[in-house]
Amino acid sequence: MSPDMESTTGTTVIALEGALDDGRVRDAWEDLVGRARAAGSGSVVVDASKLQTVSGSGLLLLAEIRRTVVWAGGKIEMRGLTADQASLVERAVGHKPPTARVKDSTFVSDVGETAFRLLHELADTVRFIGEAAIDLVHAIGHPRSLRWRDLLRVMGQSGIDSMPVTCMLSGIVGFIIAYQMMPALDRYGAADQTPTIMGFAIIRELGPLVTAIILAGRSGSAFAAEIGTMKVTEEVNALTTMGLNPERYLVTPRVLAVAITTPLLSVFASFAGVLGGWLPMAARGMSLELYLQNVRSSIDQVDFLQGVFKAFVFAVVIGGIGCRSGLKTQVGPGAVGASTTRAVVAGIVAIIVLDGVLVGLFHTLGI
Amino acid sequence: MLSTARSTETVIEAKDLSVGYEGIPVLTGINFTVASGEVFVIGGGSGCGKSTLMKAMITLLPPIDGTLRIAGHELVTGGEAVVESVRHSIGVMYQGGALFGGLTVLENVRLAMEENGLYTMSEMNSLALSLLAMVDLDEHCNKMPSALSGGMQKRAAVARALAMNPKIVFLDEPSAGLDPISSAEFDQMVVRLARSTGRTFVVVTHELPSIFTIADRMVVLGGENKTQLAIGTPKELLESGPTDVRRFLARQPEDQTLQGAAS
Repeated sequence: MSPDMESTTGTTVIALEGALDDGRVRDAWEDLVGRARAAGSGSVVVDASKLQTVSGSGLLLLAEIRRTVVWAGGKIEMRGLTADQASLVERAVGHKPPTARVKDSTFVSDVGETAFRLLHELADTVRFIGEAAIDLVHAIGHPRSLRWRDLLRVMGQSGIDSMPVTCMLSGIVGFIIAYQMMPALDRYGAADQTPTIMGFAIIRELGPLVTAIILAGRSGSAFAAEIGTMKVTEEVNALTTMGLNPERYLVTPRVLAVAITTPLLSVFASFAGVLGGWLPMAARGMSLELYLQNVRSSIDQVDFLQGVFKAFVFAVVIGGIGCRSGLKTQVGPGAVGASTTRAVVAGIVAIIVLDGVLVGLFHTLGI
Repeated sequence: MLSTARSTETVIEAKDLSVGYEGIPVLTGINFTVASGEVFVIGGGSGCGKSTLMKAMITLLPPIDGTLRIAGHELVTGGEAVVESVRHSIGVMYQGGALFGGLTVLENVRLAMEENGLYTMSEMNSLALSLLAMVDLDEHCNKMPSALSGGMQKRAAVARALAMNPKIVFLDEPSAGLDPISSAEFDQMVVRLARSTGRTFVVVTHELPSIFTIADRMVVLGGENKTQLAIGTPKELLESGPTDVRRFLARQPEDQTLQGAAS
């Protein structure tokens, strides 16, 4: 290939010969496109009549030369290409030059928009959970309207299936807390108070919290994935056009199921946590009977009910967030995954924030 | 092809209709009526707004402007009660079938009847089986949707769409993903159902063999401004429609010379 250029008549002529293969294209690209650009709005003739072969990348180079001239307002003539090659090169020019994306936002406006979006999301989530709670009350009053099969299936998944992992984790958390706390209490000669603290911490706080975190990871994500997939496959649209309310049909059985199973699961998790806390004490010779007596004497019914109430609230919130994430699933290959992630993250953030609010509320109420 | 104008009763009327998303029109200037018992096709190239128009007609997208009357209910100015009334007058088959994966084929067909509470369980089972027999799926009634082929899922979805005795049945891209034989069988089933039940079928498709097999009349959408290009029988439009419509129906791109009308 031998690029040749003449500008004597005001017309730039680029003569090509030999083979315009991949290697030659790479070497000649900058030079040839630069010459086409230098022609500005003038005329350019590309003479390919002596070219023996043109590779795919060679055609791209010719297209780039043509595009450069046309978009600069110049005229270009291509000689010696076959009709198919000429058609392809002409099509590759496109209709108009791409316009650069103008960034019309600033850091401040981005922060403002994000804050506004998050507040809007929060308000929408609270509204959705409120409506789910109302539907829940309606369903309890009208049990025939419930999808019992879905309810029992989700109760099995979120309750019985979750029991081993929830109890195991709660037991380990109980063990770790007791184990870490004992040396500190030893300094004040108060190691025998460990059962008291364990009863208080596990039953009021950690039992429900660990249960809720497992719930967010298992059921919240499952709700988002199930309903999100139904959204993508138009099953949610099908429910809507059949006159069935997707929120009542899909959300109510799921939220009700976790609202029933989570408080029960939380009781088992609390018991496992308390037992886990006994292991370090057992190493010091405390019997299980004495340990449980001490735990029992440190808590009352209010503490127990507080834990159960928290678990119930966490369940409704996590179930609602998981279902809402599913119903908000957008289109695209990553949409269901994004909804699932959002359900888990938002669920865990929500229960920890809500836990803080409930602690403050119970403290204010003196319970 | 079915004979045209089976009844003078108009079940769908669109007048100066604009549809789109979040108040921004995608399609404007839509004007057509569909008579009871007709098989009416909404056609046009990819991205012309067929699905957007159908979404508005099946109440999944509020129309922006004009008039859209479905089974006597005006959707543009009507509220939630009107939307509910329309939903009780229509049945929809979605592109992928959209059968509920956790229910058997029979339960899918029975679902809307169950929620309605008008029938006993044995009556519902009997009705659902009859509907499945109409689409040759009664032998598969106890299978889960995942055990059916794509074409069978679509037929089951048609049975489900017919379950609540709708005035109008909407089919979204019924030929999509089907082999030519299954597609032709599906078209024959649509014609058979339309003739035997007298229901109105509105079919969104760009498959030319389907259009020429099933359509009594069709509207073609498209153009730079995304609007209604023409309305008529497929044969009329192929012979004397606007150039773009004839190109579409003759399957001839712009860089080919448009041949004379083929039958």
